[in-house]
Amino acid sequence: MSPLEQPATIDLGVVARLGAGVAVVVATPDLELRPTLARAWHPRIDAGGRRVTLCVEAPLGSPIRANLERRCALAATFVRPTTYRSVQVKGTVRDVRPSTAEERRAVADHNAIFVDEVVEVGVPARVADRFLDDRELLAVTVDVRELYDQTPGPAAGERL
Amino acid sequence: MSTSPIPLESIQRCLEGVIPSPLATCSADGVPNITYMSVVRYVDAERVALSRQFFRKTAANVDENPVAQVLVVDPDTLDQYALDLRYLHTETEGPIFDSMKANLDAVASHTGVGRDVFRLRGVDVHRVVACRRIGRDPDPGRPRDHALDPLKALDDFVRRVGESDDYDAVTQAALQALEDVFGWPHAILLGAAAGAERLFGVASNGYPRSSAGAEVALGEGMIGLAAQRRRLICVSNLARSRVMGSAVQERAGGDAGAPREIPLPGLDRPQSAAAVPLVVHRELVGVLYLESDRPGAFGPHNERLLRIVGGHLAAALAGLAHGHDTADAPAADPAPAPRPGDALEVTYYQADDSVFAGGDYVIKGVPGRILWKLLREHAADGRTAFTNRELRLDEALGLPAGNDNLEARLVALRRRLAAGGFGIALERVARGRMALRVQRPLALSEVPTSGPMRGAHRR
Repeated sequence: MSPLEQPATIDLGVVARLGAGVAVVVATPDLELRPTLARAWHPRIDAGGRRVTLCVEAPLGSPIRANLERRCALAATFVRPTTYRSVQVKGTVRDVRPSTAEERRAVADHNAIFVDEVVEVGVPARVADRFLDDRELLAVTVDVRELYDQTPGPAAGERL
Repeated sequence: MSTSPIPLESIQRCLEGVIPSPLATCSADGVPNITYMSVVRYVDAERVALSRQFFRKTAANVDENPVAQVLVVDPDTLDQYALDLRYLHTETEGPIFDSMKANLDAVASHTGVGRDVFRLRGVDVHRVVACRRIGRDPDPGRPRDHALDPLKALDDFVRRVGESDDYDAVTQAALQALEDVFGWPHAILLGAAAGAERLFGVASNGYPRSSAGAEVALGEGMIGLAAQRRRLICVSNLARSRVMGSAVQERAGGDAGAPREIPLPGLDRPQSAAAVPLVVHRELVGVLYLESDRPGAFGPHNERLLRIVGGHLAAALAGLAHGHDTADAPAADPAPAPRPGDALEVTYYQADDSVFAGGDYVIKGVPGRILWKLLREHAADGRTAFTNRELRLDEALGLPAGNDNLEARLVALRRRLAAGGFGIALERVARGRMALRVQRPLALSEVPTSGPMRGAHRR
């Protein structure tokens, strides 16, 4: 049984309100509870605001791919680079499948907006699109159980 | 023993805090957590240090399950690396902690956020179990590292600084060499004196406005903190620090008070900066402040170089700070008499030793007292020639015993007068000698104080 709680309400709209150029990072544990990070793109909320689907960079043979395929627990942070406003969701992986062509186009669109954001905070424009590695993107749907304010400061880590 | 296939030393550029690093931990019951680190610091070939600030959940997870992973990014190429970590211990004092604390305090001061909000609670030291490249293949267009040969550059710098025996000329040579040799075109040199609570601007390079006459309190901003703690402070990404400061301030409901106004020249939006304390025999003689419009221009990769440059500059300036006093009587002064015309009204305020000329602020503090002495003696008998020695022996000026840094103060005063266009100039005419030039007759007035400085003006 998952240790994640089932909250009364979750407002995943807060993720959308961060803006379109957010940095998304996911973490999953392996069977020995060693965490693995990966970048993710094109987040969208569905199922009445209880699920989020992401395109996760997951190369063949990578630890993150193995973790996702066994439907592990997952944390994802959404950070807007130009404001540092950020939230973190936690849940469990519900579904994993190869990304579609349409999703990969949306990932490219997301990356273009993200590039504008990071250039504004000092990332060299020449290389700013290199955060994205779109060679192996898995579409991962997560049942969200917890939502946290992650903006730096004294309130960081509080439940939303 | 690390099993890392990529040596940690080879990715030190990723460990300079230019790009924030997500850190993942996992609770004992299997729930991962992510937080962004502002600093992942290289400790040695097998260890890194992470700043512990707002991260309650991270700390709890590490206590339960001492493994973690952090993503670090090369700021020039965006090549990414995943470091598998094993927590070792937390430090709340010592050189690593002090260095990271000074850096965070500088960010807090720079962004106007209270230090209590940005407080460093500890430094978590982790062993790097593995280091792997992730993401795209290495950037084929990677810019060549600066082709700086540090030994050659230092040799050039030392030679150029050593070519003069005059304080003013050495400051100019040093600032120009910083630009020519190291590629640091924006620099400010500030002086310090024994027991003084403020640094004063002596010289600058790369700005349209002079730094002369500007002051910075010890403990204020990057410069004041570097001076107070005698510690080099580098902030590699000021743009990110500003954004983070805004976010923290907003969340803290923060009244950061008025923004720190450092009355020095500066870039509109510097991307990285370094404040190098100039210390000789444990005595602070000044601070060298460097700015860049490039993120990551200053950071751990050139901290040693900055310390050596600062050490040499400090020694060179300290050797000249007492100038070349002459016991001779001032030479006859060939200066032309002031042109006739309306008198220039010059007012001296005892309360803070400030001098105003024609209603414009000129300078205050010790340089203000020096200027007022010169002007009074000139008004009394037309005298224009003065020596450093007589200034040093004049107890009414209140120069501190020991390191009085008189030469630096005179340079600051001379440059302030030149930049302000007040119709008053102070020229260096020979070793330890100077000449006062005034373009118009002077009308002097002194405003006494009944405040705490009253006693200092009883003679």
